[in-house]
Amino acid sequence: MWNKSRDIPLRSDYGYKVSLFSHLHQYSRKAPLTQQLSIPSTVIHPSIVRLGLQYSQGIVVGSNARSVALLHAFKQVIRDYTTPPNEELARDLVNKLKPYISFLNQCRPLSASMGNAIKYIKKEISNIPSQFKEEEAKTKLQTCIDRYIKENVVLAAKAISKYAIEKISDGDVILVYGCSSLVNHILCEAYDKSRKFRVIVVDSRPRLEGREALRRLVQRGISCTYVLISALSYILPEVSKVFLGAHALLANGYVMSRVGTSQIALVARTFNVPVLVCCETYKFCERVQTDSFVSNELDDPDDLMVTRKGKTQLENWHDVSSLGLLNLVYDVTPPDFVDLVITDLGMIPCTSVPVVLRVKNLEQ
Amino acid sequence: MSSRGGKQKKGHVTSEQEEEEQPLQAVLVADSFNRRFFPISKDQPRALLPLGNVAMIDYTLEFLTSTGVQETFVFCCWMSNKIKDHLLKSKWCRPTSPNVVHIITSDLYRSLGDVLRDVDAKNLVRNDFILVYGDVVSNIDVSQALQEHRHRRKVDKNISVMTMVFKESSPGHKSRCEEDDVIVAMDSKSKRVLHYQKTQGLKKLQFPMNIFQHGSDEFEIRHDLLDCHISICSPQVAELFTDNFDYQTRNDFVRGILVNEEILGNQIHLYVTQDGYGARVSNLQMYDSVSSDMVRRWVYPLTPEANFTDQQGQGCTHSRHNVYRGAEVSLGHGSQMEENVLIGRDTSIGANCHISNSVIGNNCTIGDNVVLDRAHMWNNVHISSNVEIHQSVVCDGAVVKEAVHLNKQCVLAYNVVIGPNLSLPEGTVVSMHHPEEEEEDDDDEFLSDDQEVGHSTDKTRQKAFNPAEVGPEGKGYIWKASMNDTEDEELAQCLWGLVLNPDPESDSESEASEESQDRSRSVSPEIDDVNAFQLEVLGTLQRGLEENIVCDNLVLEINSLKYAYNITLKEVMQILTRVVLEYPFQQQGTQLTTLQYTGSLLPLLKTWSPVFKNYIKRAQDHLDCLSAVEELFLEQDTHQTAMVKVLMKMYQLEILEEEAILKWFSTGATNDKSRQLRKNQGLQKFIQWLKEAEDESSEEGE
Repeated sequence: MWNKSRDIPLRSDYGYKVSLFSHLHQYSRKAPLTQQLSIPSTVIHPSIVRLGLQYSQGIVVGSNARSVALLHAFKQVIRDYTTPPNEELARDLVNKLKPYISFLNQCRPLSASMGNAIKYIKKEISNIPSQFKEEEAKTKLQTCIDRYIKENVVLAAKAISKYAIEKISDGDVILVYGCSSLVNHILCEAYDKSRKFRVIVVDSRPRLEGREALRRLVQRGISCTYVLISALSYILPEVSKVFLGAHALLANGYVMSRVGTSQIALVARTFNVPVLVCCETYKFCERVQTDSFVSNELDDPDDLMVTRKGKTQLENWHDVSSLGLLNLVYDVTPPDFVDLVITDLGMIPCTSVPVVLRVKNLEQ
Repeated sequence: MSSRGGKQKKGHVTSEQEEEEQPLQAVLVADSFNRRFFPISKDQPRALLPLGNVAMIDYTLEFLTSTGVQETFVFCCWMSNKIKDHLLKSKWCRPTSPNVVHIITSDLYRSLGDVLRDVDAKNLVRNDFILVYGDVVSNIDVSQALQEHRHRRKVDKNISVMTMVFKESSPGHKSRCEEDDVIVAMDSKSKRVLHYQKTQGLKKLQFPMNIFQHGSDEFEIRHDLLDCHISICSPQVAELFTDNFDYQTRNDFVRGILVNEEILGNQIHLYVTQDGYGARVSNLQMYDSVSSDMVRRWVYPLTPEANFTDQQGQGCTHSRHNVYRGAEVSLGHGSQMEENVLIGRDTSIGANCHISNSVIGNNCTIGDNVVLDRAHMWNNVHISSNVEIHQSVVCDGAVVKEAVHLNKQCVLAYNVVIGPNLSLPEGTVVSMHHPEEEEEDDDDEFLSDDQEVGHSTDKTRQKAFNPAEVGPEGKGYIWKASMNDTEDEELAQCLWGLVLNPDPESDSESEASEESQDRSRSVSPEIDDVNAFQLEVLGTLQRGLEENIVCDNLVLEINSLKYAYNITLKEVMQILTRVVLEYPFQQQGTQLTTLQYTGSLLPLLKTWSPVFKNYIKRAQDHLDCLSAVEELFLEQDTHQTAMVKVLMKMYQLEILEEEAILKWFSTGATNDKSRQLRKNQGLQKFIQWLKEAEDESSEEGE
């Protein structure tokens, strides 16, 4: 059960898996990693344990929120770090982070944005000159992390909303899906700039994240309509623009996002409604993927059970041998369905992702 | 009571056999027993007012029928003939109706209590029945609640007499009626009501201790409940109303049952549902929100296009954004029906109109360039061009002429004519009934609101319409400027209910009003022991002065008050000092000059000095008394010069000792203000004089 090199317990799979997805892990929310096995406190920093629990219980969700939480946890780790004697900070710290990362990966597979953030931190750590004193190095790393959050999340959102607002005109009916912090931010900004538009929030089971988006938008006073994804083709004739958030943008131009997004893009395309994807460049990823099977995430299948009028459907799904529940988290949208990607670098087509990645690599 | 018991037992035995065959019965009270909807309900009883172009009583009957009620007793009082006619024509009185409707009319009903006493007298109900008002709109499935109620009755031998149906909804939800806000303490397991209190206008809630000691492990105190005004009652309810002839409303009943629970052993239970819709149209604010909920399909399957009343020509089509169109509706070029619009049959709308969130009745005509938002227009309404209407009710046959602007919460009652070229201020109610018909003494107030024109026609006003109010061609009288009334009672009686617009800004307003209420509280009794005590002391002294009571007796009285209100000796002294010093203000108003003040105060001090002496004995008492004096004069800073005289007098009367005064002067200053006070010239002189006197006396002593 123990991962040899990193002292991290492996989380056991839960329930029957649909055969096409048997290569993916499927965990139960009711059995978090921290509960199964006691983890020696020397191995994993408490803030990482807490973060892992928050990930696995779905308390911290959303690509942005997860990366920011990760960076803050790392800041805490760095603050509490002391270099052991006869070791070099640059080397030891990187090694120390490795079990943390694999622990977090066990709690919930890392998102592309988190991968990029980790890559950045590792690079910054290894870049620290050896003559730096420990305190000096730690302060430098912490300011690096703060800068990363500021530049890639906060300022990026500002830049994107600046570009996106140009695309929102008076009288627009904007369709959004799920709860993307970036899209919500854009809509609120546009509303504050007194654009007159209406929002249709599309939602899907089992997470019903759209309700959170709805709550935030209505609180601002934006006029909203709430429908489930099954009513998509009914509502689309009214829609003038579709705004989508993204989990990651892949190198081949595919958009990875909450499951259901590609469905929305497809229907929008058939109704000739422009689809705009909003995504910070730090979520760009060098991976190439053309389908949702190869690499994806399976969520707790128990989430699909519903209780309605005192009766729980699918309660005994374990007992039915021929029944498997599939709770996919992501899907990929082909670039053909996406008209425009709004990033902090400007508005680009999907196909320009490799260019952005190359430029970014050059910068670093 | 014993005969009752026997009767109950007999009824129980028979009911057990017949329980299954007994048809479910309902009592529908088609009267509100209040005048909330006046002047609209002067012409039409509330139960017949249209909501979504269907009379409200039809919703209630449909709700009852869909829950399986097979026999309904409709009790009418006000305008009972109209209700009777309506029901006889409706589908409820057809032979095929699954719900047999009996109409019982009497002019003698004055409250819900009267109705239920009549139910008992006529022996109408044989089993559990549903009690509703004729203005309840609901789609809640109460069969579950009914089952629970019956189960409880079977297990507990008729202990449970009533199950009230509540819906969960957060405070401030627009379908919650402010006047019906309740706080309920209930047993979580048995759903038994332990405590029930209306919260309207209350800042403080009190719970009797015994509800916490009831032995049940869990109980909840809930404020997130919306009273649907649907109750499932046992036959005993009617009997209990007969036994307790002072019960007027259900609220009385519930309170009575809870208070007498130990004695009578009756219990009340709750049924809380999450889904479904249930609300009572108790004022126009509720009318507005229920109507908009109806159009937004929250009361599904009772939707406008369902035509559940099954009447010819009432059908309408439902299209996107909840736009409903009846038959033969014509819409002019460029007119927009934005969302949540219901238009009755044979209505024609002109060009370039903008309609949103509105209900328009049958046979209406609307001119060009009209803006309607949250308007409720009933049948046969004529609206000319360039009219703007916001959140208002326009009743049958009303005519709105050119370029009239109706601001929020206006009401045009039956057959009123308004305009042209007029803007009605917010909350105007116009009716063909003169307010005089109702209240003779309301006249002067009414006139003072009038403008110059109205005043000149003072005597001839009798039946003439005021063109300043209703426009040059208008017909109608302003009913009452209800929104301008600041008195709470008046406000509670107004058409639109209490909460006008529950927007976040109103919070700050309510806070402001809270302050003012707090101030008014110091006058009203029962709030605070200390305040009450202060008032009592004031009363005692007043009486003492008027009736020349000996000071010893006053002391006795104050002492007994002290025990009654549990006041410490220190507080007694401070309050006493305060009361005496404020006495001239109390009697002659706060506009006294310093001279007048001291003039009237000093004799009083002399009269009451024995009282003071009784309380001020120890050194600490002197200091406390002085600090009370100081406090008062810090508040009354215009009269600070009088302070010296007061102190002087108290010194002369030997109420205060010089040592105490000197000590107070040197050490008592705690903040800038009191330091400022001590710099007062007169005071300085007085202290100087005291010091010298002390020196002299000590010298003399030597």
